[in-house]
Amino acid sequence: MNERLSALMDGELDGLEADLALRSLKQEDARGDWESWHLIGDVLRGDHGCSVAARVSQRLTEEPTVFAPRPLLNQQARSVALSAAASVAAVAVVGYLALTTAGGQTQDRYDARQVRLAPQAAPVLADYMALHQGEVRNIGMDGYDRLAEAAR
Amino acid sequence: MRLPVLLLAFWSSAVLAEPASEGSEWLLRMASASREVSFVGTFIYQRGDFNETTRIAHRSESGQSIDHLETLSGRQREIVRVGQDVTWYMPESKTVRTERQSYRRFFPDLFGPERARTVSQFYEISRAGTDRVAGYDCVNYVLTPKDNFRYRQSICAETKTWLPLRVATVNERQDRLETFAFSQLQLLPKIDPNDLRVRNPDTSGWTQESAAQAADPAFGNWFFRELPAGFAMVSESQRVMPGRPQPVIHKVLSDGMVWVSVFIEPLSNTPAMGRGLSQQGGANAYSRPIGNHHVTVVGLVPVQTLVLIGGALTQRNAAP
Repeated sequence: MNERLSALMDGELDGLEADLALRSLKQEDARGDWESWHLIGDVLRGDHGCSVAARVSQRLTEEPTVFAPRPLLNQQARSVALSAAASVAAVAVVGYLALTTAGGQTQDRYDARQVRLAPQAAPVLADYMALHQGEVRNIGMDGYDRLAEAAR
Repeated sequence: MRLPVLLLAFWSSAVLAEPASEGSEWLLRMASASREVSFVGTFIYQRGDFNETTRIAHRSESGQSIDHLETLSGRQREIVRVGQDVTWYMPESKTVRTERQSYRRFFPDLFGPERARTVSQFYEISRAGTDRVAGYDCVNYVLTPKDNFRYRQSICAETKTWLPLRVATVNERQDRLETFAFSQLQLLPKIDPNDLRVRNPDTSGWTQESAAQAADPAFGNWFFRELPAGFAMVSESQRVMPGRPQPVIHKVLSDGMVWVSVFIEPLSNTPAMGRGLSQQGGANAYSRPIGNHHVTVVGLVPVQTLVLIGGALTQRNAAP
């Protein structure tokens, strides 16, 4: 089943076979995992094609969790968010991942395709960042203090 | 008959217990150092073009630690920590915030001695030469993660006391993401009590905030199905934020060495944010909607860690 899942994620299955694979993976609460791996897969595939995707597949075959398909609705929502944000620089892009092969220490480096958020996300993210750095880690206190001030 | 059985139990647990590795021994010494020595000094937090300077006085006496921190750049802020109780003083916003039994740690206190063994499970620890920081000789230890859920750490520990003098987080590309380092330090047998006092203890008329949160049923509605190895939730709270009709749930996770925040708020609270990765203010973030809520996971960890944490968050009894 894991091989099927990998193949499904890599788009190698279609038609009836994909349908069967999807049907056998109907586990509602595992959807998050599937989405997670799919997103990582998306990011990885961006610039570096197959070898990286193969590693993701390898990771998937070692992953004991049962995955569920991502519903179409989310796919649409995400496309909208991506296109709306095309010109926003305020939210810089992480786009960086490394995968370690099973048991090995080799770390490969990949620049990822840019995955962007809606433009209006920037100020909200700035608030979160101020809270995380200021309150949890005790750094970037100016931002945290301003947030405390604005809250009243 | 009881005694031999008991002894046998002791014996077998002693034999079966995994021997402490050299690496975990090193970490234990670093973690214990800040509980055993007293010092005054100034440290700099640096990340790209951003830096922040903080003065610290730390007294360890008969197992009790007291810290007084004061920012020397940007807005003034003072922190007093007595044992596990922390008080923040923010004169510009006239806010004083208190927290009992805090999980928070401040440089150079990395993690408690009780966490040293756990931390050593997730990193390969090696010695990497010597250096000199703030006039003291130190030995560099590199913590290389055994998986890809965290970044590499480099810690330079003072040769005699093992006090961490410099801690840097390094990514896969060997970029130094952030560094805490003493620029000036005095290890002292005794600390002047004045160094431990806040500058202006009169906080009448200030806003008093307590970090203690009444148990809120909203917390229980959110849980993580599973977390990347080593990560556990250390705190959850609810926070009123400017311009938000509803409070924001803030969960904090840690593997003992690094910190990850998870923010959850109703979609009606903020403009539509979408889904994706971002980087801002020295940390990575992953955002996604879950049902009628928006979730953002923030931390100085590789993005796959954030994505897995965000993916594992589940709302109990969520409407289908």
